Amino acid sequence: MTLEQIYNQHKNLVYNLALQYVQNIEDAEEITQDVFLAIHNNLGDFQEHSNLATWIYRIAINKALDFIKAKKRKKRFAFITSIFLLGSNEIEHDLPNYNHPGVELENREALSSLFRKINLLPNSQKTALILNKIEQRSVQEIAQTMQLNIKAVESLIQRAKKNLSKRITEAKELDKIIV
Amino acid sequence: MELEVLTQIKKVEVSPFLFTRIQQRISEVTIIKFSNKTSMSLIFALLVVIVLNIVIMQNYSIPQNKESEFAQSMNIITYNGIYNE
Repeated sequence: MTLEQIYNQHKNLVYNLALQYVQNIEDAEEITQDVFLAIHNNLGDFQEHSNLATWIYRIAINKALDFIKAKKRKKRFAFITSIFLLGSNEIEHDLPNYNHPGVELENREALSSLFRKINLLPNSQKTALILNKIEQRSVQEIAQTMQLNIKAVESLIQRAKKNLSKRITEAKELDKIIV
Repeated sequence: MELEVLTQIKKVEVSPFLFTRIQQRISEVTIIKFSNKTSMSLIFALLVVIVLNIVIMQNYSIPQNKESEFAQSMNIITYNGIYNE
């Protein structure tokens, strides 16, 4: 199978998954490029008997998490340099770059707030939640992708939901205090 | 629950130019590849250096009494006693 054939079959799967992690077109495109570059470099190591989609999913998840980690590191570094370079034009502010093309206008505000909370979850909980709730994958498929057992995946999803509802309640209480 | 809104996220199509960009990035990556012959000779050279090092270390070890000989020739006292009895 050539890279072009794999790309044509799985491009939307990778791009949409990347979008759920970064909620922004430019970053999702960059992650998609990284994923197919990794596929190109490791295609020889791929074992024919395993599932190609699962393998690609796993690469996409790892690349998305790596990208987020690198971005956070870059932001931290920019903040530190901005302290030492006061008055220079290099000061960068952490502007929210939420630009998810799959979100309709009426849900935009609700999802923007929800994604902010999802982004604060630990990586494994976040991945389990994204695969289950947004990508509509079964627990068995998630277990295969994350290389965990079914019970562990169910527990991750439960903990993610619990953490999210806790954060939502806290935010609502804070809103009441402000109003 | 508020999480149900997540199921309303629509799937989107990827930009048509993305594959061209991926191909461009692949061509930019230059991987240094050694031929089998080159890598074998490099391994052989490394082994020769390691063996030479071992041989030299075994044959030319510093004698134990060298230090005391030097101290004697320079009239240096090699013990910490304050009083000479």
